[in-house]
Amino acid sequence: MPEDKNRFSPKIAAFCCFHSAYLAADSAGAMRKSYSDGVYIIRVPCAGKVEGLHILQAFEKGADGVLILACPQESCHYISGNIRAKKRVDYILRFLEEIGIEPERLKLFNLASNQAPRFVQVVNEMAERIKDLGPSPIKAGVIGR
Amino acid sequence: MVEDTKIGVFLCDCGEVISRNIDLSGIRSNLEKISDVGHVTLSHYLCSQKEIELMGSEISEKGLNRVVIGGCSPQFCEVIFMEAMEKSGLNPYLLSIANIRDQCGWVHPGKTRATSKAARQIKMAISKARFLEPIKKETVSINRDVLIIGGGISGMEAAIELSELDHKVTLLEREKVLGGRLHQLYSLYPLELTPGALLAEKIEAINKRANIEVLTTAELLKIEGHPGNFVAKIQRDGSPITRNFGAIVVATGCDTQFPTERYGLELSDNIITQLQFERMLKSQEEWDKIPQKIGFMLDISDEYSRISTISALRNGLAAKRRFGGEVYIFCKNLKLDAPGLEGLYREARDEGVIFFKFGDGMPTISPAHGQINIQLEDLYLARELVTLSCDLLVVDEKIIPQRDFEILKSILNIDLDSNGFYQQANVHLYPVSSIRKGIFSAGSCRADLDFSDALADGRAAAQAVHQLSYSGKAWIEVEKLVVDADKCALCLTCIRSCPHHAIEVDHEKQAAKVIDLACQGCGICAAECPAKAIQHKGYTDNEIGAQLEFLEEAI
Amino acid sequence: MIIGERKSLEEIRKMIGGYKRVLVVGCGTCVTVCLAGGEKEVATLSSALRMAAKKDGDGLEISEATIERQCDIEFIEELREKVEQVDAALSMGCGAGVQTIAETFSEIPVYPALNTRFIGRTEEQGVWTERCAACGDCILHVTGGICPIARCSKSLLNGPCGGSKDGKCEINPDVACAWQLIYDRLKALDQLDKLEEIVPVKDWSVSRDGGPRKLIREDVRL
Ligand code: SF4
Ligand code: SF4
Ligand code: SF4
Repeated sequence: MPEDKNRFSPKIAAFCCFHSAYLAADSAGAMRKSYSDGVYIIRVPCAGKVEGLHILQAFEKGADGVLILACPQESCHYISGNIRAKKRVDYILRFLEEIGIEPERLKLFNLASNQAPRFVQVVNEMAERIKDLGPSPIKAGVIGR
Repeated sequence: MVEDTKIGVFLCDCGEVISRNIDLSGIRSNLEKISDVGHVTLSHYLCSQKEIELMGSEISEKGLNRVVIGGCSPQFCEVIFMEAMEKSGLNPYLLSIANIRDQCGWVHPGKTRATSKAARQIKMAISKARFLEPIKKETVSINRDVLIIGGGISGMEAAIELSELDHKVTLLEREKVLGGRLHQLYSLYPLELTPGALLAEKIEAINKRANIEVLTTAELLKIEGHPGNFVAKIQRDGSPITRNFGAIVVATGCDTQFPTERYGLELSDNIITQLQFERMLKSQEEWDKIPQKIGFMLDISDEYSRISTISALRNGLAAKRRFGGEVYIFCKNLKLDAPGLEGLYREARDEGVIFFKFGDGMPTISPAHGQINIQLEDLYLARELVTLSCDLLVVDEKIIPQRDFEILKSILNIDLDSNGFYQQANVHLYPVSSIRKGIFSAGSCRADLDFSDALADGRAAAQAVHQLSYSGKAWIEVEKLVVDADKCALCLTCIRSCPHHAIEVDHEKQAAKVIDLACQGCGICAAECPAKAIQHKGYTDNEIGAQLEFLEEAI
Repeated sequence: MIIGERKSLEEIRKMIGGYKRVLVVGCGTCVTVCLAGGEKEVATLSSALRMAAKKDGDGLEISEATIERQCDIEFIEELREKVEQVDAALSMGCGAGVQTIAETFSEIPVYPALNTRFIGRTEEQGVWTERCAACGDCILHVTGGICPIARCSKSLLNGPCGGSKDGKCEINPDVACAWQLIYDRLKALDQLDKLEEIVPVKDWSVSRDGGPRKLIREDVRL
């Protein structure tokens, strides 16, 4: 059962490509555009560096949601990293479904380094979505936490 | 953890910008309690000369072997701190940065919340720091000589530019003479120069330069070695030549093709291509009868080609000036998005060239009694059906990759894009770079470029080559991507998935091997390896896993 | 190489349901190369299993190990210490691997996490196709190097059936007719005369029809 929506503050692991989303997050900072403080940015050189295993590990360690933020389509700094990331996310989504984790908890978005407003929108919408869903079922399953 | 870590944490309040919203002193006293944190400071401007020097001396005095920064984004400060570490004798890669300004203080209002997030971010950075491993930097020598494949306009231009930059250049041309498509063109609008004059000028420039070697009737057979040190096997007039190069520029140009199926008709005496028309413009003799009405058809072969638009405007104007008579240009959309094209269009209109714009319905073209009838729905005349008859119809063609693209692609181990052109690394950032380091492409073999763009592209490629190899050496990060030969099953996954073709089989070790100079550090290979045999220093499984600790409640 | 494919999480969970401590074992040879059962797949499956159990409130402890080859006892022995700590093992090797582990450690049950699919090759990254049926009596020398046992849907020996159409097999238009391939290849090799020789009825006793197979080489036996 979702707890009181206002009391629950979701933790989201955001794997951010250092050539796009990470820089977008920085400029969101420069513009003082606020977003949910449950979003933790993990710098990666390319979204293609994020393994399916890392995504599962994030959930296992208690993430309520995981974001993979990659370069825009057709414009990956490393040519195909964003495509690889997308395919892995699709593969892991099937896993999540089998485990019983709602697919809305894992999302991939493409965004460019100059899209600070989109970054903020994407993470805030994610945070809202996760608030509606409540804490991750994996955490909830642990007695005593 | 590789060894006993002694971590120095350097917090910066960025001239009180950060401390306004984050209680740094509170965080500082908590950090001091962590057992392997050997030092914590809080400063105003960590990136100032004075503070950096101070950081350097703290590192050496206290024997710190990891540095964690809590401050602004690594995009601004990373390099500075790495230099400071290097100066004080610590490997600069043993650095981990918590971006508590841009990604915390500035975006999370409320001091309590921001402080608690910043504390977690710093702990994430500390957890990561414990697993950091040093990376050695080395210089490798790079051959400054350059091979240019294709002696057309881009190739010649690149050769001249490189030669002026003091590189030895070998210019390879398949045909007997240099020039490529310049031989077929009639004019080079907006240049006053004729193609023949331009060609002569370039050839003269090339002949003058002692450091350009021109090999005609020559082709590339094989490339061995690595970026910076390629060995090329070339065949010239049937005999083999071997040369060493540091970089290669592909400038093989493009071909055109008339798509019979799109038009539903064949080329004939009075349905000709732009190139045929240019050839006829060039030589007076070929005209039996001066055509009184000439039509130019666009956007049937390729709706997006700018070259076709330019040729039609250029040739339409030339025809109008030379023969008088009527000149029609039929198009869906004119592509005038390059400097000078708007002017060319206006000039054509002012001279009396008539433009017809059709919509999605294709015009019908029917040859009858030595005439070509064109019927189309004119968008400007309220979609009225108009029929015009011409003595001569000049059709647009598809720009296609030049015929031995496929062979060259496999010789060079590079890819073609979805249109069959040489695939570039990120088109916007590095237009002339191919996916492989040390291999560049220029001119119309990489995109639908008109003549002046092709010239500029040749120079751009030359500059890119120069940037890579001017000093004759390059810094590499040794084994940033490191393969554990014991674990490697030689499944070839990494070799197949590396977007830069930077991995090969090390037959001695029976394992995959990353070519450091060719690797661009994306980490895709590490993420794909089914045996977990590749680790990407800075982003190893341990380092990523350690950062996920922020998720633990207890932190 | 042997091509394997992971079973669904649901099926795997059913097999190991009820066990509290499970060892997931990867194999560093064929199934690593076909991306089904190497160290990464072991870690990924383990993580998923742990989470699924946690979610349902089942206590499940997982340990992981990937060894060089599951079809050799010497490597399997490396698992002994870990096996002593668990109630069951889940093998991500091929069928031979699963059984070798089971034969080595009779005290715990061993379950397969993969379906062993076929002997084949990587056609391109992510695509594998069957090439050999291990029939025990290779005839590739008469069929232009293309195996009609493995690649003809009916394992015909003397030319195609009536269902061969436009180079495709009648079972599925995506499957090439092996006999078309054989014909084309022999033609290219200028060996079409080979097709005139009748291939006699095959000795299936060296294949599965002869029961479980065994191979002994006295010269290398110790
Ligand atoms: S992906 Fe891994 S196992 Fe496969 S060849 Fe590369 S390093 Fe070796
Ligand atoms: S990190 Fe790996 S995949 Fe990326 S360029 Fe380097 S070798 Fe290739
Ligand atoms: S169509 Fe070809 S492959 Fe299919 S069963 Fe018949 S002979 Fe065999």
